[in-house]
Amino acid sequence: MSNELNSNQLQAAGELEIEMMQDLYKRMTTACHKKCVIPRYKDSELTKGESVCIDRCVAKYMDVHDRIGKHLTTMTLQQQPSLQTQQANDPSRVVGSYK
Amino acid sequence: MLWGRSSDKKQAAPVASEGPSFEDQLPTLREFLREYNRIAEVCFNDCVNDFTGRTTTTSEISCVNNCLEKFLKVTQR
Repeated sequence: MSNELNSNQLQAAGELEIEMMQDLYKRMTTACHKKCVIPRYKDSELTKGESVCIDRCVAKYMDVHDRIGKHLTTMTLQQQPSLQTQQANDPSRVVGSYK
Repeated sequence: MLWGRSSDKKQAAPVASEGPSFEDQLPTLREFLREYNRIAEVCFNDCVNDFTGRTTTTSEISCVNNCLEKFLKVTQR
């Protein structure tokens, strides 16, 4: 498979990445809401504890996401050595970090 | 998904070792990435419960690694 993508393919890859980021965002907000927000809604404002928890939750979620991505990329490359030439150019392009 | 590829359904073109086109691989790639997000969500929910700090602890990291391995073995089984 050629290493270079034409502009249509780049656009398709970009759209896929956006779609995956939306999916990531949705799952992350659901997870952190469940972990951090106590379901007693006496007040509409987030407490300081909830805000701090959400910050930390997001940081940890992204860290977990990155680690899994690196692990999966390593495993995929081990199974398909033909991809290793691509990795030198473009390490974990679509499964990479979103920072 | 892991036991077959959409490109298997087509006969290989007489081009020498070109492999499936990028467009052909997109649905598989999309499914793979969706699974990736799902693994991240499940393993995060099960492994990370302590929000006293910003960094993941070593026990959480090893839990996530094991969770990932188990997840993959489940799909392979």
